[in-house]
Amino acid sequence: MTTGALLFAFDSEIKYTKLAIECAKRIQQYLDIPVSLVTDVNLETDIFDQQIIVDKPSDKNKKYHFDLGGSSAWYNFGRNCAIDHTPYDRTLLVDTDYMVNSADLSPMLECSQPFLAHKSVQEVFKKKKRIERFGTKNTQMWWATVVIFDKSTFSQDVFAVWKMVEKNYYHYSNIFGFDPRKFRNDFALSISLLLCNGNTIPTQCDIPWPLFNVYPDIKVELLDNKWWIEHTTRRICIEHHDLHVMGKTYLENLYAV
Amino acid sequence: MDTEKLSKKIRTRFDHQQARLILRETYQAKMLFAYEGGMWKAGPELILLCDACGLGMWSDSPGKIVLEDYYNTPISVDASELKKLVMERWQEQMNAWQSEYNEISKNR
Repeated sequence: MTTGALLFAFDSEIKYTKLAIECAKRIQQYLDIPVSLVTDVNLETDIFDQQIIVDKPSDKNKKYHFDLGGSSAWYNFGRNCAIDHTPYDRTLLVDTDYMVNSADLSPMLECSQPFLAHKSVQEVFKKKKRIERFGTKNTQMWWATVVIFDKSTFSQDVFAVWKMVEKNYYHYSNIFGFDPRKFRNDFALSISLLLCNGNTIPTQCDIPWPLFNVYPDIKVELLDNKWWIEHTTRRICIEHHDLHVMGKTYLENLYAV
Repeated sequence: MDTEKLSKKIRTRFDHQQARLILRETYQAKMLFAYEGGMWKAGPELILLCDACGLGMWSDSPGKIVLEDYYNTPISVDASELKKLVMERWQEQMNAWQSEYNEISKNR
């Protein structure tokens, strides 16, 4: 059985492909698995096991960046094709702003659960972890930031429904009562997991620990492999845990891209 | 650096309470490991269960038993082998946790 990671990166004002290269380095360093990239232009690098060239998604979102003080295009459509693109039997699908700092995901890649994603989230300066909810029905949300899947029937179903939700996003926004103007993979994935589990909340799809989110208003610095995180007058450091660093400018500055 | 930035930098303090909370969460994640296709969380409970199973009271072949893993899946395991892995993982991570805990306590 082959195991590897898959990244999606389409450049806009933000150089997501550069972030993908840094992300791939960290995955190889800590998880020791090959990494493939889905993108629209071939990159001059040998870091990737494979570069899968596809057309840039025709649809895009405009995303406001707190740290940039402006918006940029964000091509987040088409992630639901990961199961079609992946060259691996078991795949780790991660966002390029997910910073792997440990081997914590390794057991998740070795176990036999067909589909895993984060449901609980821990904001680095909050006391309690929580489960995000969306829409007027307060539907529980799974994060599409880190997804582990195999090629089982269940995983194929989840991706097929994810595609269907993306295609009929307006319809599902009416049913679940959320704003359809900005497409969110988190919502589409959550709806898909609910539907594939017979309209009940699946308990077998959760990554057991929370996703550590660092929101863009929080300052991030990387010094000697330690992430120094600062907010107002408080700071902490995190060394051996993965982080979802949502402030792209901090990442761009860190990696000088 | 202007005065406001300078005074903010001076006021910034290491948040020990939050750092310890995050550290605990970090090491809870590190207690997990895969064995025989199942997911297991190292800790005293699983060690004691493996110990009890290792006595061979509930099975014809001593040590071989079916246990429920983290995802509520029944998995056939060798109790003594699992116990060894749990003990290793638990002690290794507890030691690392203590070491890092002491390290962050020195931060100001």
